Amino acid sequence: MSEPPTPALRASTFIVIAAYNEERTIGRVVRDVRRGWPRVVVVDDGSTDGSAAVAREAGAEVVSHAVNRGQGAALQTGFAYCLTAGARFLVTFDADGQHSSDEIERLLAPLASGEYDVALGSRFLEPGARVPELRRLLLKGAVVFTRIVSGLQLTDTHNGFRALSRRAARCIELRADRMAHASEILDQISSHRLAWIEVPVHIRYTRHSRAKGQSNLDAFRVLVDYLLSRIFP
Amino acid sequence: MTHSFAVVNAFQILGITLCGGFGLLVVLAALRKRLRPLPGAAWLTLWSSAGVAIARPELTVVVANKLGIQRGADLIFYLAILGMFVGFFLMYVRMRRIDEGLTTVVRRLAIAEARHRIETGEGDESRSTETPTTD
Repeated sequence: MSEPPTPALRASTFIVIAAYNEERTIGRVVRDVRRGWPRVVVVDDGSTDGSAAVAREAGAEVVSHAVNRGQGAALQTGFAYCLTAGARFLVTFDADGQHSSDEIERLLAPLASGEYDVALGSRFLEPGARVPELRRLLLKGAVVFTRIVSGLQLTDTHNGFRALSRRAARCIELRADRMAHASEILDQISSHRLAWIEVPVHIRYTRHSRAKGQSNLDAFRVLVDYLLSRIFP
Repeated sequence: MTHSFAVVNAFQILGITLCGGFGLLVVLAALRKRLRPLPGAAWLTLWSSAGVAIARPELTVVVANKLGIQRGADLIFYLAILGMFVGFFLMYVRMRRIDEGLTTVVRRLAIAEARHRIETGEGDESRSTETPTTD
């Protein structure tokens, strides 16, 4: 996207943020995103803190789960909400501040041109990407696993920064409520034969994002969850 | 093989009574159409087999031997383990269905509430049509 996004594109692009007990960061993240993208939808996944109020105050549209259902469920709720609200493009963005809103435009460019249905952020395509060693190793293992299972030749799999066209969002139906949704999205991209591309994105690893995000041990739980969701679709 | 039907111990009385009771419940549930034929037949087979195994324990040895197992008690043990796994599996499937249903309800409620809030202008949603300026 060499030219700046048009107001129409900005108005029809919805940024979906799943949040669970993120009152510390959600306000800053929403305000930052809204500098360029007015439609920010925060799915408050049954938070017990003031995440919903903080997000609303920062200008987000808040959709609140009455009880915690997991990130996958929250994203699917966000997709459903955005589609009914007329979204043309949807961007999934993390609530812990590890993504940069400046890169949304870059992520949307392949979709806006109509060439692709899905743009997947990849931290490993970013030159000089600094990823903690153990995390890098686990993510590379996930990449190999995904290549075998879904057939998608990706460089990064569990990256929450993605952009979907309306068509893609309508095709994708996440049934894995928890963390296995990241693999499920890739499966569905593959099974629906959606045109996808990877776009380099930068991930900021802060103490907060590492504390809030998946621990390295969670990789095992994600794997089990994913396998079970494949056995019992 | 000799067997006396007259010698029945207290455990056998209790066990046979329980198995008979459960079997009767299965039949009643099936008659009232609260149990589908296949699960009904499976439950009835289970309780009948348990009743027979308690009443005539030596029969388990005969069946065990036919399956290449020496003792009847071992056969019961293996079947119990197998039954436990089948039970876990069925419970897991049911739990997933309930979980999915719960997520659907939570989702529908959340979206309906959000849309209602927008329609009524409640909560000062900043979903205004104005586009914030970019830096």
